[in-house]
Amino acid sequence: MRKFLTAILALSATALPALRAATVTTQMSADEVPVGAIVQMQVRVDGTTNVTLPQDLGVDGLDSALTGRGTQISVINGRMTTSGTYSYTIRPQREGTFDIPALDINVDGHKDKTAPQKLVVTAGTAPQQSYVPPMPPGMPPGAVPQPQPRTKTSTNDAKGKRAFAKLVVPKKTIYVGEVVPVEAQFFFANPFKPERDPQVNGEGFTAQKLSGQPIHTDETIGRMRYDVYTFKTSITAVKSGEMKTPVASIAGILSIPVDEGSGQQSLFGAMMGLVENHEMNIESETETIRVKALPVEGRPADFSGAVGDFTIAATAQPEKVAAGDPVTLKVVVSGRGNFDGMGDPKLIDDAGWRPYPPTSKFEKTDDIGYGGRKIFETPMVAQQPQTKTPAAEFSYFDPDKEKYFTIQSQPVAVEAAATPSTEPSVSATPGAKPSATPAPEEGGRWLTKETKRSWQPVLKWPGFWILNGGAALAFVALIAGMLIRRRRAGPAGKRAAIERRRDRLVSELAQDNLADEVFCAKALEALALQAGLTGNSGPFEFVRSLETEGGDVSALHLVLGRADEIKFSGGNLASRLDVAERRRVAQTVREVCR
Amino acid sequence: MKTLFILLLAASAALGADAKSAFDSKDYPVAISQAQEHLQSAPSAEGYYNIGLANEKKGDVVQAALNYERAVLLDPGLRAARNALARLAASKSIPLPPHEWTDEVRAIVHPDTLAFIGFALVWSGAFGLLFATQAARRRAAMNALSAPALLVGAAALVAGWLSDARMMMTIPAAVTSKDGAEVLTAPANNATSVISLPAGTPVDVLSPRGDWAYIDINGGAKGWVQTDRLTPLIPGETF
Repeated sequence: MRKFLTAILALSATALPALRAATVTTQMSADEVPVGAIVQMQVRVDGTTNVTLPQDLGVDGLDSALTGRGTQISVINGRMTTSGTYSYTIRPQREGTFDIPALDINVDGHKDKTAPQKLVVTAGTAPQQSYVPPMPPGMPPGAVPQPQPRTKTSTNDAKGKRAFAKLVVPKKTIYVGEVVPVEAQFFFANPFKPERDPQVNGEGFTAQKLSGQPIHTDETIGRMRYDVYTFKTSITAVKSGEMKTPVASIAGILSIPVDEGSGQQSLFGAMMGLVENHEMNIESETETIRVKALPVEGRPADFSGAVGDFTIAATAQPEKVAAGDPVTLKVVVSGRGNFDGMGDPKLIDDAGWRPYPPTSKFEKTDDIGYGGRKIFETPMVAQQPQTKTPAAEFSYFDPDKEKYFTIQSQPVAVEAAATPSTEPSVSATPGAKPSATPAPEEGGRWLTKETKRSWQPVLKWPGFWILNGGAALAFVALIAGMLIRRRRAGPAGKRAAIERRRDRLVSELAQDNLADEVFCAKALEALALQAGLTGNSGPFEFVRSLETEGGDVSALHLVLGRADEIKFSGGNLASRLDVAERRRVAQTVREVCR
Repeated sequence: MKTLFILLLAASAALGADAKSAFDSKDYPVAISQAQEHLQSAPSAEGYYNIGLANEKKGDVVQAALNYERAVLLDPGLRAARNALARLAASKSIPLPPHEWTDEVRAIVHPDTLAFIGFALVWSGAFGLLFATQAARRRAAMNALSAPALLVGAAALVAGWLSDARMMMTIPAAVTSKDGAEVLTAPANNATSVISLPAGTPVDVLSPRGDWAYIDINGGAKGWVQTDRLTPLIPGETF
């Protein structure tokens, strides 16, 4: 009993908060606002979440809607408390003093009221803010007000570093023409909608297009968490001296929550998702960078402006050519650097070769074209017998080692016969290779023999395709014939042939003018064929099987009885069948062969 | 009928002889005119070569190049025409057509011949394989002969098809405007220039559009050219 009472008391203690009357508090986010501004009215009900409220305030001159609904459950010192927060969004339509009456609400099945409020609406311009609904469940779509015009803000205003940019340049001293890979980083503490692509620009520098897809990371600086978008690109200085690094920039709209922006209304702002849209141009700060001119000392004569770190290799195709045919020397310069500013490799030991202007193409191995390989293809025709191609030589400046290098490819072994005559000209067509036509001749002579040709190729002649069609038809006909022959040679074909022969014999038996021995011989053959078709070994067995089945086959014995006589008498039968007997035999044979 | 044919041949030969005598007497315009008349009966690579040669002697290198290219189109194996093009390239900077693998094939066997050989081999192989199915003896030998014949024939047909410039979907042409042609990025006079083509440059017209043609410069750059600056290699063809 004591235990029971203790349990009742414990239950009462835990249930006590729920039994207590719920409290309703009402609060406005502002008491005085200009026409068009957005105001929130918050109704907080402590002690329960089972609350029903009207969908709007029902005040003439105020557009209002229940737009937010939140629930809080907390346990403090073992006691659970629940509360519900309900928000009305109000937009005044005209100036004046508005009395917001007490709202009838239903709390846990009991009627209750909110406190009446007063709102003073003045003439003037609404603050530039917009409302971004937090998507509460059940919110009517029409209740969402439209965003207001945006403010223009820079990154250095009072909002602090909510968005900023950095251009990460790994070196403080670089050379003119040196390709320096850099990273453009954009930090956003709030949602940002770009309105143009990010850029890297700077006086005295050229920059590659930024890598298409940025790398997205999180970073916390101080107490601020940022979304960081990193683009890769490269910059190249075009003049020497103390320079400012280029600027990474991006323009767009930063959406900052109202509570964070103003430091006020934090409860409502956070709850309602109020944001201010700031049109921003985010730019990185510049730094000083020293750009050195390429040294004159030690510069090779054939240096064409390549700055970086490169290797060279060469191949040739074809390896064996006839007189006048071109060999294509493929020189590949690989590495990292300014491929754009790279000149053609120089051919050395090219005596006896007639080279043509090379074509080149670049294949990048990274997003920004810093690493890659440039392929130079030089067609050349041997003017005298050759066993190897010229070597290719290429000079560059290495900015890390701060000196010039000249690298050379090995000659490639080929077998090229000499062109016997004057040189062909260089083709004016870009990328076109010289024709492997025979060497040009001096003058020319009138041709007297000719072969008549047609502008229409044989493959377009109707006659050619008619000929093909004929061959195809013959081919198909041959296949069809073979199939028919094969079918006839098979069991079904053989059976059909026997049936045809049997039927012909049966029909011949109806002729009265047949000689007696011929009639009997045909009847016997028909019976023998039918016996074979029905699985019997001969006409006698066949007739016996018919008798066993109860058939009237007496007429057939007239024929069977003469079988041996026909076989051995040489056709001179001792007795002859009369017409009636013949007809009876023919009738019976017809019936049994059916 | 036979007599008529012989008479026609004789007339044709006479016309050719007249053109040659005009050429020998250095009366090139007459030689060109008579050679062109001679070609009206049926085209021949040698005939176009002769016209090209007379034009070259006359000093009209653009027409010379055009007719040499026509000769090569008709008979890619005609070395005289190929030599003449190389000569023009060397002496007059008339661009040569690009060298492709099909040129190797064409120089050895005429595409028409290749098509006929392919036709004969394909059907021989096909009938051989068919008869092999019926043969009681030497079936393996028949198969061993017929299958390769079929494959080689098919390959010859395809090679004949691919190597025949007349089979291409494009219209072969040459720049015949004396001052060459400007290749533009768009069919408009104020469009950016891709390249300037000298007179005589062989091109492939991919898509004619009114006064403009989208051309392929020998498998290299592509662009737009005014059609009045081009002449189709096949006489009578239009853009």
